[in-house]
Amino acid sequence: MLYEKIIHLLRLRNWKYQVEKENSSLLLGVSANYGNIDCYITTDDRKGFFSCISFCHCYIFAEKYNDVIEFISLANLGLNSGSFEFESETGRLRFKTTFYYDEIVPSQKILEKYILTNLYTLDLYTPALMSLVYSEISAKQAIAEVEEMTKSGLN
Amino acid sequence: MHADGYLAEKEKMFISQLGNKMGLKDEEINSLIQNFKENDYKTPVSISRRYAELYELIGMVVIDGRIHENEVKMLKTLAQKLGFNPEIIDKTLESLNDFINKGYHTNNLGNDYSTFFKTV
Repeated sequence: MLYEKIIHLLRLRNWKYQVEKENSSLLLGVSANYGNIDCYITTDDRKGFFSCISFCHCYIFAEKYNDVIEFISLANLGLNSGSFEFESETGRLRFKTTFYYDEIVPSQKILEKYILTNLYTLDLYTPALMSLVYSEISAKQAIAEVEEMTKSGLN
Repeated sequence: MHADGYLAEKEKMFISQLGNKMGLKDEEINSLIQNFKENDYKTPVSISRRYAELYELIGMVVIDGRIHENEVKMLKTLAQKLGFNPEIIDKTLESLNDFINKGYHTNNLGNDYSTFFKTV
C-alpha cells in the first residue's frame, strides 16, 4: 500500500507527522527555506489516487486577494506539474499535485520525488508571494523575481 | 545607522544579542561591530531576495526560542527599510512559534533544489 510506503519514507527522514485519517491521510509540517508549510498527503489504494496539498503560512490581507489570484494564474502557466490554488473563503494559498497509480505502486524514490517536488515548488514561490503581500510589488514583478531567483541560484 | 555609516547603540545591541544566540565569542562580536561599515552591505535589488535575507535573520533571532522586545522592534525597522510592511515580522514570528510548539521545526526541507529544478 502507498500509505505504508509514505510512512516509511517520513520515518527514514525523521520527519514528524500526524495521522489525519487512518490508512489514508497524513499531515506534516515542514520547515522550508523561506517559510513553514503544512502538507496534507492523501492516498486511496482502491481508486489508485495520491494527492499532496501544501499550504504556506502566509497571512494574506483581503485587499491583496486580487493580486494573489493574478499571481497564481501567472505561476500556473509556467509549471510542468501541479497547480497553485487560492481559497478565498479562508484566504489561504495552496499548491496541489496529484497522480494516479495502478497495482504497481510507485517506488520509494519516485514517491519521495513527488512529495519533495511539491514542497520545493511552494518554497520556491514563497519569497515572491510574501513580497507581493507585504510590499508594493505587482504580481507580474513577483513572478519575474521567481524566474530571476531560479536562474541565478537560490542560495 | 548614523550618517557616517557607523552603527547606533541599539543596532550594536541587536548584533551583540544575535551574535550570542549564534554562539559567537565576545571578541568576534566586538570585531563585527567595530569593523562594520554601511557600504559592506548591499541591499539586493530583488525584493524576493530581500525577503529571503529577512527570513534568514528572523530564523537567527528565534534560534534559542527567546525573543526580546527590542529584537522585534529592530526586525520591524529592518523590514521597513527593506520595503516591507512591518506586520510581516509579527506574522512570521507567529508561524515560527506555532511550528516550534508543534515540534515541526525539526522537519527540515533542505535546499537541494538543483535535483528537482534543473530548468524553469
